[in-house]
Amino acid sequence: MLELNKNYFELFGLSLSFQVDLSLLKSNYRQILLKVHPDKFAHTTEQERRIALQYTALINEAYKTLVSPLHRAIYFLALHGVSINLENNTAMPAEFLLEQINFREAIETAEENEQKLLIIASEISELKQTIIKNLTVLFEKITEENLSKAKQFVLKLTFFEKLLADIKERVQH
Amino acid sequence: MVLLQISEPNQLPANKQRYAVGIDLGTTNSVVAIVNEDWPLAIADPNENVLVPSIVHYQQNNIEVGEVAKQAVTYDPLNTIYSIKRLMGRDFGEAKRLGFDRIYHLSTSANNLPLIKTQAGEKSAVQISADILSFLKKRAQKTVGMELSGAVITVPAYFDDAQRQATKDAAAVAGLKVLRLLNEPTAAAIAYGLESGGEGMHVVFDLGGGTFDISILHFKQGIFEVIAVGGDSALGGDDMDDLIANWIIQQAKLNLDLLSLTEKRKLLLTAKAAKEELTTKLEITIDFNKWQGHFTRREFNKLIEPLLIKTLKYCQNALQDAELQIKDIKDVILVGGATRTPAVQEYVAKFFQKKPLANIDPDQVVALGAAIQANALLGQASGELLLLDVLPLSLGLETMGGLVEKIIYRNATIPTQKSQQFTTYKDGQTGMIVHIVQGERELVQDCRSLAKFELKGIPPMKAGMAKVEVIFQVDADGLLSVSAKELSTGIESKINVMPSYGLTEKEITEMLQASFDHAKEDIQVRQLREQQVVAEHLLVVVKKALQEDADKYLSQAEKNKIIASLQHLETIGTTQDSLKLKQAVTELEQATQIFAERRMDGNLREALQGVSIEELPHAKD
Repeated sequence: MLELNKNYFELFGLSLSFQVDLSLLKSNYRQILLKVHPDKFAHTTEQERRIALQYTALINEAYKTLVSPLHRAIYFLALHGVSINLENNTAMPAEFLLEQINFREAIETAEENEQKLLIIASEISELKQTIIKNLTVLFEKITEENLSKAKQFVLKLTFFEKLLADIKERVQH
Repeated sequence: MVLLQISEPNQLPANKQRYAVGIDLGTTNSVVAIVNEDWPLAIADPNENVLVPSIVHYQQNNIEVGEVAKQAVTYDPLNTIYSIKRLMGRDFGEAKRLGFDRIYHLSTSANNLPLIKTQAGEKSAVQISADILSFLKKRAQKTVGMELSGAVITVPAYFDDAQRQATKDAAAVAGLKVLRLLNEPTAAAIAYGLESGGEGMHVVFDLGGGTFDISILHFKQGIFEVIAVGGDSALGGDDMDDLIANWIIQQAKLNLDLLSLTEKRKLLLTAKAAKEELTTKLEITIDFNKWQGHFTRREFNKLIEPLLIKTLKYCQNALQDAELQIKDIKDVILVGGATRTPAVQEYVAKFFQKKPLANIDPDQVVALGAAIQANALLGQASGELLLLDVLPLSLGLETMGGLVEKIIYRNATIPTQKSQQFTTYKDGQTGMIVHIVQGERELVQDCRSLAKFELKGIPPMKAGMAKVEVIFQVDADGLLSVSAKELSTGIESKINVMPSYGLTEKEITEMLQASFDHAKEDIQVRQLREQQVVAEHLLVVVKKALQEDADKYLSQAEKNKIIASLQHLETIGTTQDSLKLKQAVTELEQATQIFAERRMDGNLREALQGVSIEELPHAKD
């Protein structure tokens, strides 16, 4: 399974760049699935279905990774030898942590008020977009310094994603 | 080395007309459909009835299913089983919570599954469902005049792993080859997609007897992609009946606890009839146990309003999960008998700001869509059709303190996989237990326990040194399988999967055997025949593959090796020994593994080449 050993970018015929043409990714993803999805082998053999299942499972995983800026960034860093241990990275700048605490408090005070929660969410989303822009710039030139800076941004991004997930859960409840 | 005869390749079985059915195995009614000359059709009985009541009547030496069994509900209630779908994949405690112990005599199986005591013996939900499936299978085979090549069976999108597995087991017991388990809303979308050909976002609002599903699907270039699903597996038209029944109790000043089983049944039937009458009338009269009263649609709507608001909340959540707004939705499709209720249609129309589609019979639409998919899976569809479904509920692992760590999130496109690394926490530890649960809640006790398994045979090392990689794979049916290996030594660990729910392998085999005893057919003959079909099919496919791609992907030595295995299987093909045949099949599969993988690689590359020429310039979402 040589193709499956390729990195996710190559797998979808994309160049190794953090900036991804999402419509091209989607279109290539669809074209690939039309050729390798197990349902395309429902009338052939068990063996082909098994292989198709492995391919499709990985391709879905790869697609999901690339489509999300956060997961794409983590993957991109990993490809450049920088791993992120999400559990053990709490050494964030005090100022950033303070901002997090403020957001947490705002979410708590908003309680079940959907309107208030959505306003907080849009504020966080804006900060998220700024980080993604920063990452795009940093990833254009791969240096040790840039990668290390990018890692900090990715960690911040995970904090924001957690806040957004929390808000979503409150709104949906 | 004798060269392979490839001048006259065998015909693929797909080239002659074969039939696979779509089956909607419903809580209240079931439907079987086929595609004939590109058009889906629900199969009726001689009296033109398409709906088969999902009811089984067990007599001492006979099993009745459907309309006939429905008659028995009144005179032989203890041996007449209905709504069995609600028990699929459920344990004994859940059966009691669902009230089955109030209607039937229950006992438990070894695995804590509920069994219903009948005069024909104790019956599991799988067995009872299998009896319904057998009935549908026979109906279809009578119509097409030949054995079926397989079936697509629909399940509520919200069915968890245990419920899906139970459905698949039932099909196996009924002797049906499951080509695919398909989510009911997806099936409905296919039926409508075929009709309208409309690309875009579709919402399927499926309110059945006992379940509510909301699905958002994107249809583009022949691919149906499920974007988000949501719903409630304990919310449906039956709840409306319960509300009306309670209303009658109140109005008639009766005590529910003092009613006999027969009276309770009558009360529910009266409530159901009232609901159905109100779809066309604004006011009706209800008679129950000498009490008579007026009931208006307005009163009914008020009773069910909380239920409707609940369904819309699920719609709202699904839209958020999909990151969509109401204006992005092209069509809303109504499925399920309970969507006939006018208030449901009004609420849905108001929420989505458009008139929902309901022109295909909501009782048939699911089976029709399943039939279209079944036909496509046989390779007989005229156009391109591919479904990308999602995992309805997150899969997680139990961690310290009874907490759940999610490994695959709900709404992930399936098939998918995820690997997770574990390490030992004691010196010399050789085993560990992994507990998999399904659900969204944070505590293990609030989720459904799927399986507990033991990783054994880890080489003894210092604590934290052994690294075990566990791979969780979810197939296109939404079913989970697990494999593991120890990374530092590369030892493939033996996994003992102990399902927390569901039937054991042994119980399924026994049921299969019992069904054959009943049908006076020899299970060995059947197994041999099945093995022969597999062998024949494999031979045809491998020959065709060699003819097309051998030069592209194989060295002469590799090719010779495959041909040797192939000829071995050919000479053994007529044997009456199913074990020998199986060995030869496995041998050929092993010999062609690399070849099959390289061909799949080729498919993948081909897919991208096709894209770069045609699609690149205007690729748009």
